[in-house]
Amino acid sequence: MSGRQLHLALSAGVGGVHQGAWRRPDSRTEQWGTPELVIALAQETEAAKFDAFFLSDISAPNRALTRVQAPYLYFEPLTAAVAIARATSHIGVIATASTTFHEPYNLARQVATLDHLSGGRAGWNAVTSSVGEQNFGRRPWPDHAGRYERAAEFLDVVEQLWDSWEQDAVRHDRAAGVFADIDKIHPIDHAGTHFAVAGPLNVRRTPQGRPVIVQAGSSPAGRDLAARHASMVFTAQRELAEAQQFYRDLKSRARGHGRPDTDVAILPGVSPIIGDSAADAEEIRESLLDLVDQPTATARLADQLGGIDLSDIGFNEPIPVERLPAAGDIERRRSRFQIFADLAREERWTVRQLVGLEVASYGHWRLVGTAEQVAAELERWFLARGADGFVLMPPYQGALTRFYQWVVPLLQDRGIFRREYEGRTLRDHLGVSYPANRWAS
Amino acid sequence: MGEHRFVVGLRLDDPTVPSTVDVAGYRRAALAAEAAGADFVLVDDGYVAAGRGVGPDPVMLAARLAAATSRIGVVAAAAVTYGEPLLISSGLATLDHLSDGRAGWLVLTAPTAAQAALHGAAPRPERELWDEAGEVVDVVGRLWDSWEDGAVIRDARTGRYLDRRRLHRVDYTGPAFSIAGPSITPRPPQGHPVVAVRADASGSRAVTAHADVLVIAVDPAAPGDAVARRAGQAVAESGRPRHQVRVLGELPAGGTVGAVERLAAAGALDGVIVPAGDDPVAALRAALGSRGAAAPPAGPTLRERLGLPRPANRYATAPPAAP
Repeated sequence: MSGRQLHLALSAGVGGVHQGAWRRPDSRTEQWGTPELVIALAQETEAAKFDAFFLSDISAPNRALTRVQAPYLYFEPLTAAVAIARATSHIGVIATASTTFHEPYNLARQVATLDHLSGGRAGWNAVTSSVGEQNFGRRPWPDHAGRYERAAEFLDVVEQLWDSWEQDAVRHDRAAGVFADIDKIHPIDHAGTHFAVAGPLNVRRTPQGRPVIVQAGSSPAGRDLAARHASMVFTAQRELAEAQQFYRDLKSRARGHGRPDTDVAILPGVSPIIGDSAADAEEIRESLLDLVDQPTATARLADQLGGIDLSDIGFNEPIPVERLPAAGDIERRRSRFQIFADLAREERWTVRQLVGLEVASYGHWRLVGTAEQVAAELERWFLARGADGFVLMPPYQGALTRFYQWVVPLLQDRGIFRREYEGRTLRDHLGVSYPANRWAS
Repeated sequence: MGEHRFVVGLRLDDPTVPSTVDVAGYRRAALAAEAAGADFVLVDDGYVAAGRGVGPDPVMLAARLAAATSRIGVVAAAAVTYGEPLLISSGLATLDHLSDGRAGWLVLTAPTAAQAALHGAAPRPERELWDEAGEVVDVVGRLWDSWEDGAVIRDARTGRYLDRRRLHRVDYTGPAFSIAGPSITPRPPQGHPVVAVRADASGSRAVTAHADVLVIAVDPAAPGDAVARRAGQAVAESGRPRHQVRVLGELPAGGTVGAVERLAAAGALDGVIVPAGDDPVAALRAALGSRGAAAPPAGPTLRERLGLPRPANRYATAPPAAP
């Protein structure tokens, strides 16, 4: 295979991210809550030759929402990732874990464990968490800036720990009775604002040197973090021009940290509805909206918009502009707020339209059309450098099946997506370099 | 003691089991233990990168061993001192789901200065750590109960996914932390994974009060009646009803064969934990031989293997809906 290649990852929850997905006859809702379903999804994704499979994390279930929607994931992601790694052989396994709620030493150890258990296929989706503090009551809850400051130091500590064993530290010298060369196992002696960590890690250097770090925040603070540490960026972009701007900005920030463009893969989320015809796809989109519980969905939209009151606004009315808070007042999911607020303010979208976007893809890019149209759009973004690939967020199970059966072969025919895996590790799939160990001479 | 099957577990932390994440070594030992008929393997945790502490995350390694085996229990050590209760509870619940109810948890604290230095903390008195551990174990149990059995309805016609009345906040506020709940993970197949603790540690009463399994260190040379006295004392100190708790003797490496036979014959213990040592199968054979013609376990879960009941849900209010 030659030329620049597209990267694909799946973030599917339980077979669909749309709030109404589980009510469709094609859903696998009866299997919800079983490890078998998550494992089957990962195996199907591997058969489609994707780069990676995401295990999302919710720090706290939303009880009101859960009444009408299957929770996104229900297992502790790192432990579940082990089961997926065991049931697959090539696909990258990316577990989500919060820098706000975890301890760096424990998490460095867990992700390193996953990299060993998977033979170098581990990724960590480092999130700062916008909700869930009520379930983590050991320390005060930091604001947006504080969470990113903590995250920056957290990632730095974790990378130091992953470097604390040099590649050749373990000697296995039976004759001399030397298990490891302790001169090649380094304490990190980190003393910073948020953490003091002596090190070294209790796990040797992993197959990928360092597991892949994925970053998903698109605010300036999130971009900086990604530019320094991430090999994959998961972002929400809805227009090609904006996606290109984000792409250029992030690559330029990465260069500023001495990293080549090819070391950071940028993957916007995409939520496609794939029909036999364009009209069929539109019909599926409408029918999905009919399966949504309106009050719950409206409340969720209100939450995305900074917790404003929408109870007195009709479903087919636009949102009064004066109710929208300024972005600077938003403490959680600031980039996502901006997407919905812009549509409400500039495009005067109705509650129904905004809810349609929110329940379908949480504000990620929606594509509605035939398989050919979807493949062509993905290629257009890819060639125009709006994306290095995509995180597929299928709205419902049928869209996932059709993407694998219809869209992937079209991308392969266009020569932009692999027909077979060529490497063994997630770094190989992404085409990002293996990091040098800071201690290696 | 003696009305139950004599329980035999294999501890995998021994340095002779190749370390630094030699997955194959752990897997071979677990498969050998399962084939020999042992009740569980225990992935212990030395935690710090020195000596025996080198090794992978125990809960994750146990998940790997659960995938490689089909009958044997998988017990993972998890230290609570620098862990988050929600993450501990959902990690072990996930292990129980992945293993179809074969999960157990050995509760540890992280008392050493070296451990504290990994988390930027000052070492604290062990007593204080055990008190906090008791709090964590209590709250983890509440989180496991925060989803009632049968909470998921999946009525596609009405769009009701879950019976919200069967999803509970835990609303805990204590000296060390507070937590609202509910958990992110549905109730584990066993209700609660089996909770074990080493009962010899000073201050461990805070945890033994919540434990299903009390582990006591056993000197292989000690007479059977002395071991029996110590076992009875551990149960009494825990305050747990005798029939709801199992006392397992943990043997040091070397010379276990005769000791196990003697202790089993004396009826001093409900079972033993043997170190993998140089030859895990030999160690197990001796221990399992002491079981005699025991009845097979009542079912496939670790609780059933240990003869322990599935705990009732503290939040259950209504009987489960008819299927």
